[in-house]
Amino acid sequence: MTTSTPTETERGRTLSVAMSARDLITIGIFAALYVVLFFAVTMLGFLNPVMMLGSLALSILVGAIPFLLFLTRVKHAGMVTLFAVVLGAVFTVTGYPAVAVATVIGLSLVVEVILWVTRYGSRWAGVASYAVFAAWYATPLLPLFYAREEYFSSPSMARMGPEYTAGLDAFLSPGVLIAFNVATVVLGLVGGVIALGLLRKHFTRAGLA
Amino acid sequence: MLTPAMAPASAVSAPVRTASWRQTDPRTSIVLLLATSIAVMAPGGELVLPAAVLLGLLLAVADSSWRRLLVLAAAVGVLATLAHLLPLWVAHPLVQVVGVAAAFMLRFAAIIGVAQHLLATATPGTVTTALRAARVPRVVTVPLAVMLRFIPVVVAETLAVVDAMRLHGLTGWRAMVRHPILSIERFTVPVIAATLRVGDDLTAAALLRGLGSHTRPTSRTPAQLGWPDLLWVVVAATLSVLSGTVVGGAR
Repeated sequence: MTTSTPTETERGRTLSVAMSARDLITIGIFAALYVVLFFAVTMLGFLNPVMMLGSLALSILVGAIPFLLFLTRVKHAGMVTLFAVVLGAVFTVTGYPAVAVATVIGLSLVVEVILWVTRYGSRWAGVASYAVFAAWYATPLLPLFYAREEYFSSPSMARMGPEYTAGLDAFLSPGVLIAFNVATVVLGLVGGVIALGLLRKHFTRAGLA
Repeated sequence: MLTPAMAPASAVSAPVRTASWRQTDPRTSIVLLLATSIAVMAPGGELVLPAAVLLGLLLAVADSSWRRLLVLAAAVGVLATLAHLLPLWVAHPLVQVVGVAAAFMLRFAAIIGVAQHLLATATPGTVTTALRAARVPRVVTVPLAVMLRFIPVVVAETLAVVDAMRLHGLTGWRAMVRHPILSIERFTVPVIAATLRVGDDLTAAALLRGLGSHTRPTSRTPAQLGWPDLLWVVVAATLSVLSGTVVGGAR
């Protein structure tokens, strides 16, 4: 536990990573919001396979709103990382691969840098931060990069027949996968812009942002 | 000076924990859940899948939650039929696709079965006590406990908003496809606004009770690992070994 007192640089940035009790509760509340909204939207994808990709895109857009609202309450370093650690705990329990957890925490460190450079005040930096953070949505497909053989030789794949597997192998080429990764970032950007509009329209007026 | 009137307080401070095979320490519940999640989702997870399902069913019995027992058994039965039996009888491509999806959801069902034991038995208080006893730092335990306390609140608010949207006739697929952004707005804004209002109240209450303070609090029911915890770990390990041999042998 860090007990350092807040120190200010000449440009007024707080360097402290000490968490007040209120900060910790805020992290818990927004993690709960993010998790429930994320699973509520991805649940739609289980209704039929066509909706799977659609719900993934939708969950990127929806996730932007609690994330940006959370960033308006972040005033010093460490809070976003802690948010990511709590999310990582949820992902571990719900069966995401360990690489997804590592990616979420890694991306949150990038977000920390963006926020620190922009001195925790810029809303557009929040939009950029969400675009970076949204890249974690690509992680469920990451095993295709480092364990491709194993993925296509799994029993469920073997039952689909060699033509299907070969077709999927050809379809999920590195080019398509990279395009998918880029798409998540673009959707993150779009989601961030929409969320910013909603923040201004509803939450600022209600005194919640 | 200790007056006779104060004497009962010292009796309370030394609680007698009645060890029952049903009760697991939150640490054990968390370890069981983590082990299940990692083992079932890892490559070759199909080997331990039956063990995970059985563990979930046994835990439902331990919690005397018969409804959970029935729902879990039914869900696993339907999913397993769709995933493993139906593709053998019908060779239609659609059945194969449904089978792959069902095999995937079967793994989730097994994990949820074990997770429900933690959600049913652990309160934020006991989880924080247990995690503190496991030397997890305060900055991690407090957000986790708050999240555990808060997820039911958010779920309740979400369901209420969905009900309200249904009354207004706003839940159709057509409306969602035609005005996606408007749909997102109508769904998320009330959920978040309502949740944050509850959150402010709960934050004030939690701060008054000393959540997140630096001093090390004591607990009325101290976290103790006992023989029931050992029992469940042994049960889980035995089930995994059995299931690994049976399923592995059948291949």
